[in-house]
Amino acid sequence: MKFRSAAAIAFRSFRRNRRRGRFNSRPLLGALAGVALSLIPLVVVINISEGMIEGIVDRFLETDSYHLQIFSYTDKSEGDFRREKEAVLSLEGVNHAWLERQGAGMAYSEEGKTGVAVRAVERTIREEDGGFRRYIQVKEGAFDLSDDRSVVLGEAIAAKLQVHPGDQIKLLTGKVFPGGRYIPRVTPLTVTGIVSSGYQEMDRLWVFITYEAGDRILSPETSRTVLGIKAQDPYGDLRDLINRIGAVSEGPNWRAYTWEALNRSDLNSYQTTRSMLMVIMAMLVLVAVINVSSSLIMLIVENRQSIGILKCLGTSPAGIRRIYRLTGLFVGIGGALIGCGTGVLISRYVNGLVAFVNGTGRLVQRLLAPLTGGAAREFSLMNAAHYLQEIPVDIQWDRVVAVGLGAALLSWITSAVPAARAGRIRPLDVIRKF
Amino acid sequence: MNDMEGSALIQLRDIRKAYPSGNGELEVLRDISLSVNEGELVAITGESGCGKSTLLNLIGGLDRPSEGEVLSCGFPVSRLSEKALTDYRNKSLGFVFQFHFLLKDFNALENVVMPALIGGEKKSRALDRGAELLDRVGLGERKDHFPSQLSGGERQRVALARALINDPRLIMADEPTGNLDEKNSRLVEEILFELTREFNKTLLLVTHDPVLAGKGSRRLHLTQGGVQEL
Ligand SMILES: Nc1ncnc2c1ncn2[C@@H]1O[C@H](COP(=O)(O)OP(=O)(O)OP(=O)(O)O)[C@@H](O)[C@H]1O
Ligand SMILES: [Mg+2]
Repeated sequence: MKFRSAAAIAFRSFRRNRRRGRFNSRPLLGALAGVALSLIPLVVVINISEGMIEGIVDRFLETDSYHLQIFSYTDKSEGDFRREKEAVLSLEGVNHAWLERQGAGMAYSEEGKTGVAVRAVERTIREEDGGFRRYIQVKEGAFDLSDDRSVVLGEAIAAKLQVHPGDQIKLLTGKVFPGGRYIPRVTPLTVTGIVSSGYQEMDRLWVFITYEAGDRILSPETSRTVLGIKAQDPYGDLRDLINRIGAVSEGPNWRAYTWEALNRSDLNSYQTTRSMLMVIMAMLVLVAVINVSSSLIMLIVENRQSIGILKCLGTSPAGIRRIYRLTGLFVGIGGALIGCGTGVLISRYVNGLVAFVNGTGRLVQRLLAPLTGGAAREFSLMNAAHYLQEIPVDIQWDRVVAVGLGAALLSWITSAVPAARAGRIRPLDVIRKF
Repeated sequence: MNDMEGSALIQLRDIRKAYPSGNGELEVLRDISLSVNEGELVAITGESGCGKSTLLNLIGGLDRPSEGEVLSCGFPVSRLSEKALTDYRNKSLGFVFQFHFLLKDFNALENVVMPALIGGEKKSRALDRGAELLDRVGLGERKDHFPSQLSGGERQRVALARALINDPRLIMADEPTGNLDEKNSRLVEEILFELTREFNKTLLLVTHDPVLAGKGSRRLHLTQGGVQEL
């Protein structure tokens, strides 16, 4: 039997029969819908996970870890760091080098208090460093560290302390003396700006002060100075740059680390989470594809008579097998087209959809408030603290197509079993029944 | 007797057919030797259960004899592979059964041309010839109707047109009017004989109807003992 005739017979199973007013095989359409539905989450994850991880990593690089960090293993003065900075800045491929002193403290106002990560940075970092500026958004006031008494707060901290630009807060830091004696130190600071990194975990922790203020109020025992480097190509090979930094560093004990080394555990956990998600979702697709094969068995049982007739009319077992493998392939292709298409559409508009679901959820919550006495927490589809505020979508056409083709191909392969069964049906058994 | 003639279209040699039954076997056909020439219209009668359908199935390659040999249309049917049998059925045979056996998902015309498409013929050509044949069986206006929209007699006429589409040398009809009323039976019979004569086909017709059996050019009676010429 020629391909075209086999395809035509296979395709007939999908056509609506005018007289009977229903599709010739519901199980088949059910299987098709199953393939489509199972593909949607996989496609969505493919399209947003890359962007999500990239977005998170990029944000980390630009606002938190820098592209490279240089530490010193021995006590170094501010002057040593400044000289190291100048040396590094002279290297090709280096855009910026920033001195930062990192420590911990407790911020409090009249309304509340919270533990914070103190980041004592150079005054012009946001002005000059485009990457930092891109991700550190000013919500109120300005990122103004012109005065040593200024402080810029993460959004969640400002909310907790209920302060605004112009208000005063107190920053509690401490000094540990030999013998473990701890002397607290309270520094009054004026809020000049409130910022958001777009990543709520960070907005809950970060307070920015000037490097000089940090040098003064953070004790060496509980803080450290790093030299953060912004390279031209953070995603390129940074080892060469590390070598060149080693060559220009004055004296021993300087060590440079790449952002990958610094964030390795976080990065690995993103990748593992994504891989696990993908495996689970690929298994969903697999189940759907196996379902194609079982729906084909139902179709073949239903079509026993037709198969016997076709054989009587001179269709070979191979011809019958071809018809049902094509039927399986059509189910796979149909499911793949619908599933991948819908998946891409959902990915494309995922932010709108999340907003819509959140909005609806909150509306319902508000309507039900008189009954429930008000819920403890605002409705949210995703716990925003663990995600970016906006999901970055990056449609990965090649992977989406690969997944769709894979599903169609698998449908074709798993159709072999039912098709072989159809090929073995003996025409005589069918004809004797009547 | 002419069963040794070389130009015979069908030759059965010492056919025995038995089905396993319980711990023994049920012998349905024994010592059947028979020869049919091209162009003969053979009517086969016999009691119910005597093995008429079984005989046709052996000739049609739908079943294999327990012993003996079936030659038909130049093929050693009883020794053909499954693949070769399908080709033989497609090119050399036209079946009409008591039940129409039309494909329910295809309309009348598509059912008629199905053997041609299976055989690899070009669709447009097959459709033209199929439409002609439907005209010949008086269903030219019913081409797009599905089997469920046709009467029993009409379905049998479609089945007849289908049996003829590949221009086979042998038509096998197993009680083609067994399910029809008197009027429709006559109509189908008339068309069956008219077309097989006109196209110069060989016909094997199983029937319980003596009137119909009398219309052929040769009459065989099947009994437990064997075949008798009447
Ligand atoms: N597959 C089978 N297994 C066992 N017995 C069978 C099988 N096929 C046919 N038979 C038996 O063989 C005998 C002949 O059957 P067959 O159908 O050829 O009779 P028939 O002459 O066509 O009868 P009818 O006129 O009622 O159609 C019957 O007794 C039937 O029960
Ligand atoms: Mg019979």
